[in-house]
Amino acid sequence: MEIVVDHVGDVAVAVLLVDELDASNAGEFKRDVAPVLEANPQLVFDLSRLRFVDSSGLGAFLSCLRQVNAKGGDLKLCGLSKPVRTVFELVRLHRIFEIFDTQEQAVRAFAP
Amino acid sequence: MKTTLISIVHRKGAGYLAAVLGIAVVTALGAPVHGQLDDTIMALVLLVVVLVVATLWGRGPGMVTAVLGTLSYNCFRLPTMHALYSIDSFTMAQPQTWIALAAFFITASTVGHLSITAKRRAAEAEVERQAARLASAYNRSLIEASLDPLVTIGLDGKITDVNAATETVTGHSRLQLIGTDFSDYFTDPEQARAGYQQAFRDGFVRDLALELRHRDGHITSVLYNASVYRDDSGRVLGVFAAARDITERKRAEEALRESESNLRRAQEVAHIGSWYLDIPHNRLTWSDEVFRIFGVPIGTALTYEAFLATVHPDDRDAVEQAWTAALHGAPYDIEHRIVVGGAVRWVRERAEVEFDRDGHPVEGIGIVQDITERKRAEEEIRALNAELEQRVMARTAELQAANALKDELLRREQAATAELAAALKREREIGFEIQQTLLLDHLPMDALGLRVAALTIPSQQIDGDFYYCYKHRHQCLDLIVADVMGKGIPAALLGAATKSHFLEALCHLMAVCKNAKLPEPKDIVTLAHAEMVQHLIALESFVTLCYARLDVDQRRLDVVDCGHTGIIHFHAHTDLWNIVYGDNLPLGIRPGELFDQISVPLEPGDLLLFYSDGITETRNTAGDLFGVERLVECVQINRDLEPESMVEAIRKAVFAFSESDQLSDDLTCVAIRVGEQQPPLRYAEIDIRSDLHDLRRARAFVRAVCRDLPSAPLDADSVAALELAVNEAASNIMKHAYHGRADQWIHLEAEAFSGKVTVRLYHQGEPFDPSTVAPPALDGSQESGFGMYLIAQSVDDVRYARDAHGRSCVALVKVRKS
Repeated sequence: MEIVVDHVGDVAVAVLLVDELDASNAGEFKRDVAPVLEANPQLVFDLSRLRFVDSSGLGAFLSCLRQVNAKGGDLKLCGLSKPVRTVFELVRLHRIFEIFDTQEQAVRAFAP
Repeated sequence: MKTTLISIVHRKGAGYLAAVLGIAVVTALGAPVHGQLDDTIMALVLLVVVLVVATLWGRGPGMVTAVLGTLSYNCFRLPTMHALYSIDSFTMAQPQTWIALAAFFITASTVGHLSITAKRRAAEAEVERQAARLASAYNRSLIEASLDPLVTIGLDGKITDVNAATETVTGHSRLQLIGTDFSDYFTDPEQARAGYQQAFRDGFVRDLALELRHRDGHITSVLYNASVYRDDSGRVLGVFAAARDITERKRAEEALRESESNLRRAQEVAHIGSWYLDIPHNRLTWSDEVFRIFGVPIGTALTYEAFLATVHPDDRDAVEQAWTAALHGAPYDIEHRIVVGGAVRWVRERAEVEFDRDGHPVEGIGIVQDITERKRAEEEIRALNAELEQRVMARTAELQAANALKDELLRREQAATAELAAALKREREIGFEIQQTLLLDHLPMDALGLRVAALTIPSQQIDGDFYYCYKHRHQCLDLIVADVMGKGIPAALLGAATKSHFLEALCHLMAVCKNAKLPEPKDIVTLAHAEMVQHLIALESFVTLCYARLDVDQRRLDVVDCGHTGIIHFHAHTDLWNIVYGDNLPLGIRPGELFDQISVPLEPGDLLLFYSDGITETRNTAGDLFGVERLVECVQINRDLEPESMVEAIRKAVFAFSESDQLSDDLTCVAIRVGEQQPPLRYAEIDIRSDLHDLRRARAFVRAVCRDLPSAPLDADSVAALELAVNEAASNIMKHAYHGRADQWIHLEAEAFSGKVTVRLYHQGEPFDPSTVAPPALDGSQESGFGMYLIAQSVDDVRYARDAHGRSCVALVKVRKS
């Protein structure tokens, strides 16, 4: 799965170049994103390409958050499309994740 | 005042004053009239004065009075008054004067002396009287202090005095008693009289037993001691009698006598005698009862040896040993035999031996009880018990044998019953299973705009009711409702066979039908019947059946009724009802039968009720049938309810009518409401593999169905929600129903209406029970398990069921937002 990682200062911004994240590719995503999580304690997922996420996709994001938090880092999300945001809200994950409209806002949120 | 006067009179000075005054008064009184008085009178008057003064005041004042009287007399005797004033004329030459003077002196002296003596004596007498009074009171108090009644009796037998105790014992006062006859107060007056007479005669009498009668009647037993008393001269004055109250003593004696008598009687009654042995002197004393027990004449002199002689020879040693032991302090309580006049008796003996300070036995006190009767009774009881025991043992053995046999029979019966019950249960289970799996169908939900609900209540005996539902793609729903004759497993199997014959006939005819037209129900029935009629005839069975086809497109009901119960048809527009009947024979009656079909038009809102005769033939406790009328009435009342509620209302009505929890026949009914809705705007279906990669195909299918629908029932958000729900449902089926196997299939069917879109996912995997899934925690603590929750949140209705072909089905409905 293609994941493009950019660095803005200490913050890494990972852009998910995938339209749909469901049970079929959630495992693949978790595998591919693992090195990114490992290398970047301050991480932003840019989900603006994502049009659909299902429960498996949500599970994958939660897994990522835990891994980053375990190392003392943080994971923030940005660019959620409406259907994706709706799914996040259905299971109240917008209370668990910090979600921003744009990359810049998310990166800024890391500033001390 | 009187006391004062007397004391004045008694004073000596007063005497002298009285002397002067007395003479002066006489002189004064006599002077004016001395001419008329002769000397003698005068002298006597003066003498009286002397006498009075001497008497009252003694010799001194008397003498003074005498002198003064002489002077006065001398004056009065003179013929003239001058003599009073001339001392010279006062002479004592007159012989009368001397005589008078002498008389006056003598009188005064004598009388004065006598007066003084008399006074002294009087005073002495008074002192003596006083002393006597005191002594008398003392004696009296001593007498009165006596608790014993004391009486003095005069020579004439009359009471002369009594003390208070006598008053108490007789109830009469002292005054009443004195002067009355002593003997009157006794129960035996003669004896009382004899008593005091003896006292007079002999000087005394001792311990004379008498009974005093109290005024109120009660009797006091007394012992009288009496003796005479005499005056100084030794003359007998009377008898002094003292009584001693012996009531208490008599009572005690009486009680003792009674007690002894009671003891004697008690000994007689209890056959218990007592004895006493003076050990040093070997003197044995028996109570009367002991004599009786031992058959020895009362009063016979006894010794220990005499006693031993009466003991039964066989018991003698034992008795002797026991007594010897008792003499050394052992308890003595033995039972032994005695021989009385040749007869053997049993006695029990108990005794206590008293010892002196040195430990020598002194006396033995014991009792003897005649226990012959008891021994005899014991012997009898022993014999009876032995016999009883023998009988009981024999009877017990009999009973045990009978019980064992009964238990064995009971066990066998229980085993047989259990076996039978198990067999019946098994049969019921098999029948029920056949009915549930082979006979009763899973009805489609909301198929073709029809709402269908069924009620099946299996009875204790399965009776081969079945219904079957087949949904064609041509907007038609076929429903077969049948009832096989008979009950139990045979009927259930025959029902299953019938069902398979119909399916076979349907498949065959569908296969050969041209233009993909549906075969007509009458043709299906005719063919199926032709296949099975010989079997039914051979089994001597038949089947009543109703084959109904609901054609939604044509709004028509085609019915082939083969002797079944008919269909209750409620017309929504007219609110009228009728029962649809055909006139075909039941299946299995006649080979080569051709079946006729009838058609009934349907309107949206119409209700069709198919039912088995189990409903109409349910009986209440009075034996009445539930009947078609009640069923129609029930349907009519509940005609506005949805079919699910309708069949529930019918169930309640039937159970309420039967007043029982157990039904003798299966209850089966199917209610179908013809929908108001039009045919779907769009119908689509797709098969996807059970591969997670095919999830995107499922989502694309949903989007495609919803795209460009006329009147756009769902907006973009709703489509996305439906897409998510379908994705999650398919994902669940792949993961859980197929356990991750990617080579299975999921069939998706979508129907779009103007107000909603329904997507059904059919699969052959493991049926899934959504009720076993717990709702997820929404706090980020879990990474999976959101699927069911997302489905429920995303669509308006979720139903899980199995379809007509045994497939599991998940139906998701998304309703247009108003």
